[in-house]
Amino acid sequence: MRSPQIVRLQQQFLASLHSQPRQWLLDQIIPAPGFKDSKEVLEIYLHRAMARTVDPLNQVFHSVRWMMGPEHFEELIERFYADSLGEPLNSEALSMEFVSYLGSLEEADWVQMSDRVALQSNCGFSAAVALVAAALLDWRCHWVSLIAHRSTDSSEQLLKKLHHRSSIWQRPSLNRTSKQCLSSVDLVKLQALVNSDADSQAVPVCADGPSSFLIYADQDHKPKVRQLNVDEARLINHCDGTHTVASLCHEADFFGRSHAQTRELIASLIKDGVIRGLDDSVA
Amino acid sequence: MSATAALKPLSTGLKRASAGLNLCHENASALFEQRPTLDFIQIHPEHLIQEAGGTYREQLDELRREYNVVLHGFGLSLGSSGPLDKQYLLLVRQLLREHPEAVFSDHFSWSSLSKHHFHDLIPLIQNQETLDYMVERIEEAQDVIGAPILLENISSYMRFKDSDMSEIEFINAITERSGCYVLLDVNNIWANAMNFHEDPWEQLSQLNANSVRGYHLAGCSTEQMGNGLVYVDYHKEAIRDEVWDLYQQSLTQFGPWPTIVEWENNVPSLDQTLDEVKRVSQYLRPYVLGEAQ
Repeated sequence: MRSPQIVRLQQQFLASLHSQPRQWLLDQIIPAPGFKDSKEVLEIYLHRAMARTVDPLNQVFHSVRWMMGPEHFEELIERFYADSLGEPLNSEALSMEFVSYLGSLEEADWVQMSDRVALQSNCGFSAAVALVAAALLDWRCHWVSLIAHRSTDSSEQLLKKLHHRSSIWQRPSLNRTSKQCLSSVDLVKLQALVNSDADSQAVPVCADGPSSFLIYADQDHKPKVRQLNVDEARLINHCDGTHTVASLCHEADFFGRSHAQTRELIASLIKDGVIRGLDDSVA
Repeated sequence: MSATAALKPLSTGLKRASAGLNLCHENASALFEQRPTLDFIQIHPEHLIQEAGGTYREQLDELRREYNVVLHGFGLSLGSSGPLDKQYLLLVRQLLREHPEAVFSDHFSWSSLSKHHFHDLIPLIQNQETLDYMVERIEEAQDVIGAPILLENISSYMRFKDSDMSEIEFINAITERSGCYVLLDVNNIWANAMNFHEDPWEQLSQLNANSVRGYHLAGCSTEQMGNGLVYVDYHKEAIRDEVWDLYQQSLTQFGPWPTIVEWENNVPSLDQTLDEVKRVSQYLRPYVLGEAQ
């Protein structure tokens, strides 16, 4: 059965949440005697709904907040809330929607926001690009910290596997949500500035143009950002659980890397918690 | 007849006179490291959906292997006009299979409409139309999870003009018709009575005696509003003496049932929460020993 009364009550709540309290709802409410009127008690519910919805964004988007400054960030998430088509229960889904929202803003919105982000002259990117980079960094850092590890094997156990005589058939893999990306924003420096709660300053830029980065979590689920050199980036790009150690060594041959060098690099990435699986079957 | 002789074990396998606490992000690490003796812990199925991995999830999984658990939801939104979340209910069913000792509880309220989640427990219009609707929804949920649900009375700061039943009349009618049980939040009974200038003891006495199957105890805060003080259920303070007294009365009236101490904000050290759990155990001891009449 449907209950027209429940539908109306809830639609009125929803409408009030995204604009002004509806008169029908105000007329329906009998406030507890401590409140001066219906509006005061309704405001409590509406304010809590908004605050509890957007609060997780404050816990996730540290870099965006640092780049824009707290006041402008608050404005942005309130605007996001007002424009939102739904308030998911799950903060991960909400975070993803927030990133999508940033990515879908119109040019005029970015013009308005651009003076809130300090950029180095000739950095080669706009405030919009910097903010989206920061949002993606924050979202991915949050995401990697919440995903189950691929393996409970310690680094020592993985290294032992690597040193086994049949290890050329092992297939190295990263944790599922580890993400390799390219950016002109120096994500390592940006994360350090944010973590140290540094005073506002220009967005850090990669000195030699766009660079490869890896965002991953260590075994304690702490998010980490690592700038990759060319050899690391190439190797990690193929650590998807389908390429064997033999195959990775063979590929590196073409770039002047010996098998010993490649195995050493794999060992080093295991020690650093980047490579988290060595499987002997196709993942 | 002694109270002990009257006690029947919960179908869930938990002892009736048992005490536990609410697992939350703030106390998980301490609980994980200290592993105190507890009859059970309360976990939220929503956390298993929201966090597929990470430190909290690993601790939660380890702790639910070690302790008996009860399941307490906050997102089912039984009173919502939107469809019930079947995936969520299937997860609850799976968890009940994994934890035969567990019961599943949620609230007499609504908290979402379609994809809009209000992150709050909003009261219902207490009349026949809502009653019929709630009964249908509860039966649907119970069919999916394969077990009776416990529903908790909420704290509320407003009522609706179209309500023609009291909160307790509404709850009694729902339990009689749907076969669900009451998870009695003693603080909410007390806070609502204070907020609406009513007698909490009178409220308690009107509740169907055989409908209660569990207790929640928590603190509440006071806020100065435009026309006076209001008691708000933030779960961020110690349990009030008046609520302990009401709990004592509840035990006399409804008998002992698994009791949970809840902190959700401003969560203190685990030791402080454990002191409150110990105090619950002291209230329950006469029933365990068969001393209460």
